[in-house]
Amino acid sequence: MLIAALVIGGMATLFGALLGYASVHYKVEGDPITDKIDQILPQTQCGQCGYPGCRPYAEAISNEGAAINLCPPGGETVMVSLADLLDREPVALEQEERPPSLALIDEKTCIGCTLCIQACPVDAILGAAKLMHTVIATECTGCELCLAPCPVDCITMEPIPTDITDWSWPDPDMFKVAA
Amino acid sequence: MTLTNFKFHGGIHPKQLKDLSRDRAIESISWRDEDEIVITLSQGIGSLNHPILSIGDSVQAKQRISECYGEISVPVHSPCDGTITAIEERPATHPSGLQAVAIVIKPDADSSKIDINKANDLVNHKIDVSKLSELLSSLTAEEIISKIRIGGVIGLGGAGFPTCAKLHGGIKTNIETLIINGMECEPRITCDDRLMRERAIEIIAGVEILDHLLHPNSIKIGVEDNKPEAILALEIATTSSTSSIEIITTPTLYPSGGERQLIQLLTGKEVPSGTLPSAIGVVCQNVATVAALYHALLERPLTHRVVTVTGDGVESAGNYSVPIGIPIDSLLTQCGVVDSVRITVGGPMMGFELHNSRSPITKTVNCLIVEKNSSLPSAPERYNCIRCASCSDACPAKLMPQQLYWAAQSRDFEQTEKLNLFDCIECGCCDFVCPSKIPLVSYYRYAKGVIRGAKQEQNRADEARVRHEFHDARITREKAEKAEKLAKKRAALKAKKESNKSTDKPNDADKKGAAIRAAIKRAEAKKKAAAANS
Amino acid sequence: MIKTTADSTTAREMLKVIAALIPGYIALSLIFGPGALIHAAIMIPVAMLAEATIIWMRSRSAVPAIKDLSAPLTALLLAAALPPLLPWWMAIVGILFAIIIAKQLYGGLGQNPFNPAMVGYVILLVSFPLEMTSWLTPAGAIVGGDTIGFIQSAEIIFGTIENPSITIDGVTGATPLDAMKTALYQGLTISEGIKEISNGVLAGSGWEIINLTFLIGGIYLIASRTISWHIPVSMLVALLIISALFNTVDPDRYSTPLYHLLSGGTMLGAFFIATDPVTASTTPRGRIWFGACIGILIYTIRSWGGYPDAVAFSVLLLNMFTPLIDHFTQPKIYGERDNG
Repeated sequence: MLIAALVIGGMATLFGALLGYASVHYKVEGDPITDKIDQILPQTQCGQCGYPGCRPYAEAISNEGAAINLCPPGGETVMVSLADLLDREPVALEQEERPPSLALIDEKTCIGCTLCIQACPVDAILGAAKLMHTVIATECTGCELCLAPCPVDCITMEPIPTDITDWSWPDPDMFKVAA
Repeated sequence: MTLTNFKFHGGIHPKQLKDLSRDRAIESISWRDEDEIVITLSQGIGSLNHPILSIGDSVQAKQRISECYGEISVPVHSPCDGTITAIEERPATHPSGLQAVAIVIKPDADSSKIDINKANDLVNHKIDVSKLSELLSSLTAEEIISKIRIGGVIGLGGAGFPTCAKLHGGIKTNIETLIINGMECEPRITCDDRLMRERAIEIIAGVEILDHLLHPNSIKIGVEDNKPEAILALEIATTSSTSSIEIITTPTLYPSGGERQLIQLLTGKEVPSGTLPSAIGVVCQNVATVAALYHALLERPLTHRVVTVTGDGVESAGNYSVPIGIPIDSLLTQCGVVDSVRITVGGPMMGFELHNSRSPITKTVNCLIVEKNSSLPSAPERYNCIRCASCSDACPAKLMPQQLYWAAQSRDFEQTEKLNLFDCIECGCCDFVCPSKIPLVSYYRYAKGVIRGAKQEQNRADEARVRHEFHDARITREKAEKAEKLAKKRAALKAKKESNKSTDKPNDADKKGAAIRAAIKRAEAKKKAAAANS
Repeated sequence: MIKTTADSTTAREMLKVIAALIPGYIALSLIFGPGALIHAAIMIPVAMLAEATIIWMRSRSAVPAIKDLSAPLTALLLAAALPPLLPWWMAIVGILFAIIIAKQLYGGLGQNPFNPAMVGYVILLVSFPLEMTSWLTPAGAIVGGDTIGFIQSAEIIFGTIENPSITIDGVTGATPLDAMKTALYQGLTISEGIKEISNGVLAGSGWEIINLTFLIGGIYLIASRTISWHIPVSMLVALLIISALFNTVDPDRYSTPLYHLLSGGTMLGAFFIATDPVTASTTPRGRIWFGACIGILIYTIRSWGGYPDAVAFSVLLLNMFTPLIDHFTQPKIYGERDNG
């Protein structure tokens, strides 16, 4: 009886010590899960998820268990990737998935107020006070944060047209299989 | 003529179906009076071209009409005298059926006759060997490649890779073997066969240019054994050549003409995955490309090419030398096309179906298969994959098509990459042998598209993240700088107030008064001095 | 879409396998009477009906699925493995299990991990051990003696006779493998055991002939490129080597290689069962491992296991390992780099 108690107690102490050592020695700095989530998010920085940017949303998902279906620009692909990564059930998206678009400034109407420049989270608008503003198309993420601040409402979202260079072969599983 | 000792893995023997066109000599077909010439700005692989002329400008035959930048780029030329009527989106000769920007030229009246005469002259063209070697010795390697680039020469075997870029890669390393691809392994296509039979001397002249440029240790022209006349013609042409060229015959097997398979077939070496053949000292060029680069060196840019037109849907099947930019429906009407046909651009294994016959002939179109819809077999019934592995037995790249299929089908694209999806050359051998009639290549093309798209998205997202982080850092820095400035100003103001209170320093008014008094003194002194002197 | 294809179709491949079974079936009928044929005659329609029904229940079109001939082939393979006088309803149970549970429930053709015919066989063997091990004495034209006739076979199979003139117990007995095992337990040596087996030439002469006819069918399959040589050759060579090894060391306790190669279901298993493409390994090297392990396992179970014949169990056990084998035997691709 005593022997048994000693043996079990000894094993428990041993494993406890091993675990304690491992938790100190192998401690991972930073938050790898948050980084992985951030990698998946599309970096539009639009705030449609309710968080001020993609990194805060990533932190919310990993630390507060925020829902994974709040990202419209990422769409279903991102939601499924997050479900895969976090071993959660895929959930239908809250908002409708919109086609990728770019912001377009109507140069005739622009008054050079720089409010949109300050609003853009990736500095994709070129311009200065009282000078013409224009969107750098290759850097625009389509987050739509510049639309609201503009006092003359001169910014519109244009869907990106499919070019022959973007085209790729379609999904062959549109064909039925026998059995 | 020698036989090859090497083999590659797999391959298939589809029905050749070359009899309709293999004995038809190359004929010229030109535009009709009512036709437009439509030159798509991007032909083959390479960076986009920009037009250098405007609507309304007149052009001459062989005039360059675009500019392009970067090593992997090649301009386009007009095949005719005429006027530019439009620069706009037109149907492209592309499996998507989408449109692409093209320069549209209305040829001058009666210019087609001139075109045909010039083409006929070309047939009787004689090579002046001494002139060629004189020309070559007067130019540097860079100049030769530049002429080839400006001449608009790209790979005419189907891929359309800019020849200048390939040669640039070639002169940077030590090239052991120059391989000339005369295999034409796909069924139906006979244009290279006829080119070798009728214009062998141009091909050999081009080979000599490449010999001069790359100094390879050996030159091998590979030809399948179903082209005995072409082999003979090449042998006759090589006897009078200054270069030492070997003609190597290989058994007819598809896809022997694939670049990597051909290299293995003629040298026994495999090109390492993810690298170019120049990495193992090999440069490979199609026979038509080689003839074209010869002409380019003599200031005759690529404006025409030979296209095989075949199938039971045309009355006159054959091999036609046509201008780049001629609408396909014009060409087919002149060949006597019947109603209700299916048009395939390219060969039956790697070609695609053309939905809009107004799209033009581009530099990479080597064949048009025109079949009556009534004679087409019905689509075969598709069954489940039974994992019989006939596909991996046939694959020339030694991949496992059935595992790629299972992964692609279940959308496990990471797994397809691990299974070397991007080493697939999309030759169609697996499709051909599959007893369950599964369209395997469609899955691989789809998977490649998804993976490429995802990588592009990832790159954009990474860039956006970097810009966003910089944006945040910039805002923080600006705030900090402003705060610092403000703090400094406050401190300075405070310091001034302190200093004003503590000592009785003369105030500004006193200072001013002292300055005025000093100025008056100086003026009086000056007056005195002036009065003393006079 | 461009579609230039070869003439081979799934149905044609299945037909070639069915054709290759014919010599074996002829031998079975000549030696054991028409039992196998009767079984096949009832199992083929039942198989096709079962498959069509399940596919219809899965809301897919049943007729194209039936046309691939995989259900009749499964029925023929199972019928060749069953004892000739097995009651008809047991044969039906076997084939229904094979088609419905082992194949359609996993998703149909190409989706099943286990060989359906062998699953059916094993279910029957485990559930009805007496009837499944009651074979006839080999007789007939080749071997000598009278075989059981068609009417008598049918009567026994369908259980229609009240007082059968020939009862199952009267004519049936153990297979040579079974008899050999019993003999060994009784302490006899191999050579003494051989004498106990009817007409003991090598392996019970009827069985030798049956295995040889299946071998002929198998060679045809390899020559016509319906199957690749890897699995049958590796299985037979492995079985040969291991049996030769043990036979040399202790010939009194372990049978000769030829005995193992020509007895029981060896040849049927090597060329028709283990080569089922859906459940076997697909890489060339993997196939060699697959076949060799089956061969070794057959020998192991025969020599030291509880069952006299082991083809079915060995194949099913190796079916489990197929994905693992495939994973570790990926062939080198064109231009594969070592640091890739």
